[in-house]
Formats: sequence, C-alpha cells, structure tokens
Amino acid sequence: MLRFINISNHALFYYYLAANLIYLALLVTAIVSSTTHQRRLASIRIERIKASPFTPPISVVMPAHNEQECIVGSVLSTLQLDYPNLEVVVVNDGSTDRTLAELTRHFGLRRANMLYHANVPSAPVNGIYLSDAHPGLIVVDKEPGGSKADANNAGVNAATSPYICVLDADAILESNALLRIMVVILSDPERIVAAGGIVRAVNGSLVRNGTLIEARLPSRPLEIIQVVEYLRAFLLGREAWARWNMLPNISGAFGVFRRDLLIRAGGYRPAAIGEDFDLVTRLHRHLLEQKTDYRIEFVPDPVCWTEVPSDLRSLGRQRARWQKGLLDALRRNSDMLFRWRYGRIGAISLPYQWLFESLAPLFEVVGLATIALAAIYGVLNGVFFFRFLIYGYAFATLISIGSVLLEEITFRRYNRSRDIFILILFCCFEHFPYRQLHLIWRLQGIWQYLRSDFVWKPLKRAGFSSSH
Amino acid sequence: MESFSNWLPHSNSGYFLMDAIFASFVGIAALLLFIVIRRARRRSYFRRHDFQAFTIRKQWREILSGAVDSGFWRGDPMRRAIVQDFLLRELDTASPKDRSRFQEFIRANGLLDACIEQARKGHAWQRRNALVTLGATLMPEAISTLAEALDDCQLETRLAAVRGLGRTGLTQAAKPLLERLMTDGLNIPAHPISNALLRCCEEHPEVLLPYLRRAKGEVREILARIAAEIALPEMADEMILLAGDPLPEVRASAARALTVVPLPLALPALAGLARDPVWFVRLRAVASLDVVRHPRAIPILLEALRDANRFVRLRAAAALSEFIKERTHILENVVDTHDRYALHAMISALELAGDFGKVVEDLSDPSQHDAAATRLLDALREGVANIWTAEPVDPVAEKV
Repeated sequence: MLRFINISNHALFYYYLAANLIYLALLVTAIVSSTTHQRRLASIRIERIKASPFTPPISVVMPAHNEQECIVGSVLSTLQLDYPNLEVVVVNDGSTDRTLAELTRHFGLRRANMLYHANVPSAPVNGIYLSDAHPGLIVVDKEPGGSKADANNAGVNAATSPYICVLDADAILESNALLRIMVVILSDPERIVAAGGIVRAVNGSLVRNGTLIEARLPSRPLEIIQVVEYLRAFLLGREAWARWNMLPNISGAFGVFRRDLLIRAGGYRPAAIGEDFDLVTRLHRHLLEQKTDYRIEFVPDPVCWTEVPSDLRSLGRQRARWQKGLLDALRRNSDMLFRWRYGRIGAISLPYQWLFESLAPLFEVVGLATIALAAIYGVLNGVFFFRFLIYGYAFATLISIGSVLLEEITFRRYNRSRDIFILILFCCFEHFPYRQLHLIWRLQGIWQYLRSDFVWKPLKRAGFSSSH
Repeated sequence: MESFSNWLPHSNSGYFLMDAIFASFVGIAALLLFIVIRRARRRSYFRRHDFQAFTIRKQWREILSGAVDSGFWRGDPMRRAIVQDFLLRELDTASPKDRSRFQEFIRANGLLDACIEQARKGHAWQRRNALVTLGATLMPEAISTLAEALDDCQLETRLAAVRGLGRTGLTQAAKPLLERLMTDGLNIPAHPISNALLRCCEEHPEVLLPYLRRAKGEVREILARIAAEIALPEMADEMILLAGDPLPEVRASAARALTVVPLPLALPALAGLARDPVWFVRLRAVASLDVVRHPRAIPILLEALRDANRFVRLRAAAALSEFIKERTHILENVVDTHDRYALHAMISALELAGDFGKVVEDLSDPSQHDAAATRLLDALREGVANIWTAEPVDPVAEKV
C-alpha cells in the first residue's frame, strides 16, 4: 500500500506541475496574442469592411427549443446586427411551448412552400416560415431532433450564405460582433475556415429590446464566479490555443464557419452531446486528412452575451453535460491521438484535453484519496501538504487574476473599478466551496456518460427582460 | 520504504514548492499592482485628454487660421495628437475645398513630415500606425513612403501599408500596389489588397486594364474581380474579352461587369456565360441577367432554370420571379418543361418574393378562369405538394 501511495503521489505531483506549467504558458501566450490583436485593430476600420463589396454574406443560425421567454428579443437583436447582407435562420426544434407562436405573432410569419435540401442530416422539417416585414428572416419548424446538433444542421440546410454563424437563441451578439469576427476571417479567407468569438455572462447587465445597453457584473456570487470562469476559458485558454493553431473548440453559443466546409465535414453529428467540440475536432480531422493549410481562430473582441445559470441545480446540470460532451467528442475522435497525420492536434491538443480536462476530475479524486490514505497510514507530511495546498491556491489565483488582467488591458467590458475589484475578489475566493462543487458535477457527468445517461435536462432561465 | 510524503520535502521538490509559492504570490502582487497602476494612469490620461481636447476644440478655428501660434499645440505630444486626430477626422468628411485647406495645414505645420518620419523609421506597431495615419491624410506625398513599406519583410507592416494606400483613395496610390502585384505576386492576403485597390481605382477603373491584360493566375483573378465591381460602360470591349478567359474566376467577374455594358453587347455574352461549364460562372451570369432585367433575358433564364446546379436554378428562379407582367407566360414555359426541379425553384422564388399566394389567387379568379389557368394552377398545386419529397438532382457543389 505504501508503495502505491508513494507512486501515485509522485505521479500526481508531476501531473499537477505539468498542468500548472501549461497554464502559465497559456497565460503568457494569451497576453502576447491579445495585445497583438488589439494593436492590429487600431489600424483597421470596421466600417470599411461593412462598405466593401467583397464582404461575404452570413447566415446566422439560431436553434431554439422552448425559448418562448427570450426568442423574440434574441431574433430582434440579431436582425439589428450591423452587417451587410445578413440572413437569420431560426430553427424551432420541436418546442412544446409558445416559441413558434411568439415568433409568428411578433414577426408576422407566413408559411412558405420553399425548397429545403437536407445536405446534412436532421430530423424532418414541418414547415418553413418567412416574414414580409423582415425579409432576412427564415424560421424552420422541425420535429424535435433530441439535440442542438440536429437543429443546427437544419439551419445549415436552410441557410444560403457562404458563411454560417451559429448562435444560441438565448444569446445577444454585440451589434458589430459579426464585422469584428469577419475582420479576422477576411484577413486571410483562404486559410481561416472558422472563428469563434468570446462568450460572456449577461446576468446583471442592462438589456433593452434584445440589445445590451450596459455591461455590469451580476450580483449573485454564483454568477460572478462564472464570469471569472468565462474570462479564464476564453481570454486565456482559447486565445492561447488559437495562437498555436490548436483551438479544440469554438463555443456553440457563437462561432462562424465556412458553410461549404461544414457540409463537407458532414455537419454537426446529431447524436453529439458536445456538438461544438465534436464539430471543431472533425473539422481539424477533415482538413488535416486533406493536407490543407488552414487556421481555426479565436477572436477575443466580438462578444456574445449569454445568460448563465443562476442556481446550483441548473449550473450542475450544465457542467455535467459539458463534461459528457467533452468525453463523448474525445472518445469518438480518439483515433486521432498520437497519429502523425493529425499533427499537433493529435500530438498536443487532444492529449491535453484528455489528460488535463476530461480526466482531471478523476485525477483529483485519486489525489484526494491517496492523501487520505497517506494520513491513515501515518505517512502524510503535514508541512509539505500544507505548502502544497498554499501553492495550489496561489497558482490558481494567479491564473484567474491573469485572465482579469487580460480583460483589463484589452477589451474592458467591465469598466467600473468596483467591478474589477469584485472580479479579483472572486478570483481569490472561488476555490472554496465552488471548486469542490464543480468537481462533483464533473464526476456526475463522467458517471452519467458511463451509464449512457444522455437525457437533456432543462436549465432554469430568467430571460433577458429581467437582466437588469 | 519511504513514502512520497516523507520523501518529497527532503528532495528538490520540497524546496521547489517554497519557491513556487513565493513566485506565485509575487506574481499575484505584480498583476494586482499592474492593474491598479494602469487604471490610475488611464484615468489621469483620459482626464487630461478630455481637458486638452476641450481646450483645442474651443480654439479650433483660430488654430486652423493660424491666429493661435502653433507652438501652443506642437510642443505638447498630447495636444499634437489631438490636433492630428481632429484633422484626420474632419478630412474624412470634408468638401474638396475644405480638404485642401486641411491638407495645407498638415503640410505647413510639419505634421506630415513627422508622420512620414515615423512611418519610415518607427518600430513595429508604431510604424504600422504611422503608415495607416499617413494614408488617412489623403495626400499624394504619402504614397512613396507607403510604397516603400510594401517591401517590408513583415506581413503586418505590408498590410498596414496596403491599408494606408487604400485609405488615400488616390488613383496614384494604386500604381505601387499594382506594380508589386505584377512583380512579386500576392504576398499579402487578397481581401485587404482588393479593398485597397477598389478604393484607389474607383474614380478611374481604366488604370486597371493594362495590368489586367498582363496579369496571370491569382493576380489576374483579383484584378478582374476589382474591375468587375467598378467597371464603366467604356470598358465594354475589355469585359467582353474577359468573358472568354480560360480562368473561371475571371469569366465570373466578367459576368458581373457585363451589367454595365450596353444590352445588345451584354446579352449574347451573358447567354454564353450562362452555359459555362463551371457552375459559379453560370451563377454570376444569371445574377447579372437579374440585374439587367430585360424581357430578352427570359429565354436564357428559363434555360438556366433547368440547370444541373441548384444554386443556378434558384437564382434563375429568383430573377424570373421579378418579371411580373410576363409571369403567366414564364410559368407556362416552366410547366411545359415538365422539370419538377425547375417548378420547385420557381415556387420557392415566388414564395420568397411573397407573391406565390397572389399568383394562385389570380389563377383561381373565376372571371379569368380558362383551361390554361386551370392547367397552371394544377401544376403549381402538384409542385407544392411534392416540394419537400424531391431529392436534389445534383450533388452539392459549393465554394466561397
């Protein structure tokens, strides 16, 4: 037993060390990358992109399942986006509430006999609706497909533009977000095949008629912790991975893809739990197999505001689902691991996702268990353990404050000193008990995945009208 | 046997841990300090900037007329930056008369020289910003400096130079861009260079033609695309020649440009392009026929409505749905083809235009009811009934 404790503690120590070194590398890379992007933006006038005849049209695909609370506001806000030649495709994915009725009432939809080609698989479509008042709006009403991926595919089929922007129905895009993301794509449209923007928590912000009036920090601690998490995940993680051209994921809440490529890659996998991760991994696979010179980018300044769960139950469900999605996508693409043809994706990005993201909860549990065993067998060095805890706390805080720094030196959506102070405070205090709860939710996700429990459990939402 | 916990403190890892704790806390303190100092500095900067901008705005007319000595703003970097910013903003929207007054002011006060100096000798982003600013002065003197930067080894600097040249909007600024394209090929992504050339050649698109004649490959495609956007009727001969180019992208651009060519010349060329072997050339030709919108285009569009590619069919249908007077005749022709894909495309286009209901209503009108109307009505109803059960005839062939 002592030998087991010895070996496992050594392994965990070096595992933790490796993880921290990677986080540090991510932080440094993200700072360099964000500041470069910021400087580049200074010489670009996005209104020129808007005026250019070479700027391609975009179809925004918005899957909606029981979104009666916020669908009208979201669609209105999307229709008002500042972009030339915009098409909005709302997919009503078998909603059992008044989603379609609300859309029909507000936009004066009429049923249209239009061609619909299933280039990528999705559940049967019941009808296509158009609005005379909003010629750019198409509503696809379909049978429930059981997944967001299925709804996204229906939207891709109905869309007509060369670029597809996938957007959550409960999300608000900043008015120039599409122009900002296209600035990067159009800087090298042959190579950049997809790009994701940043997702931020709208809770607490002032929203009127589906438009964000003022970004504010939420008031509930659980929501503020998620603000820090989102900053860390996007400004730090995705920024750095994209810089190395190893971006493993573009958030399902907001991403732009080349439509032809999306179709060639087979669209979203309808059975996928984490459809966004799965799609991006398959895009990497497809392009690497074709030996294409490509990039998948993260653009940190176009913002998509989304409502984050405000109660523990919903948050737990969301995190368990994310964990299942990650595991599912990684398992289905496990044949890419350490294969020469998949380059750095197979050699670095996916192994990292396996080791330090999907299996991290298990490592944490094993770590806790061996520490307990060491204590039981009387071989736990209390001083060392205490130092290790302090180190873990200090390093995690450093990384979180690093992501707040990134926000501060680049995009400054939270402008008030009070907001920054609160964010820093939560960087220091999120470690207990939130991290432990997060561990439990992720373990639940792994357990549910192993039991093939893929039932989608709804999250409680307040809608934008209450986001004040 | 020693356990991990007993062993680690005596090894290097134990010492490492103490160092790591120390480094992490120092890191946290440094980040916090940086954030606090940066916020304080920014607050103070914006307060000063706001005050200075207000002061300068109050005396703006006097500054421009020279009544206020230039020493007032030239000596202070912040004031100088504010004056330059105001000038560039006003230049953007000024009338030609005012523009030359502002430009004269920029020259006379050495702002242009300072900007040129920075664009030549500045480093990294400082230089790139100066290049873009130089372009914003809209002055011909900026061109040579911007052209020099096109040869820089760093892509970002070359891009800044391209943006600067584009921002001048001057026809002379197109020359260095075109020369580099011809000699070095494309060492800058196509989109920024296309935008820059478009702005520079907007007033005199004919400057593109000598280069277009000589260009090959990708450069030829780009130049043709730009020419298509800004073509003038006087360029008709050249555009018709391009319609026979071996490069499909060039033919597609020619199809776009033919919308400005006189109809008797444009229609036969577009008819040829609508039968091109490459689908996106046919698509562009059909889109141009939609722009031309002449009854003589109807037979070509009806032919395109039976195209093997569904994008071409849908575009042709959209174009045909705009011929309101000829609608019955068009629908009869579509029904006569017995091509259900053509019929479905037509129904879709009418729905998109919001006219399908009206067409059915008109055909059902008892006062005008005849055998032909009944036949059309039946065909449309049958088309609607199986519009979703039909599989596409062609594999999806798409390209951005």
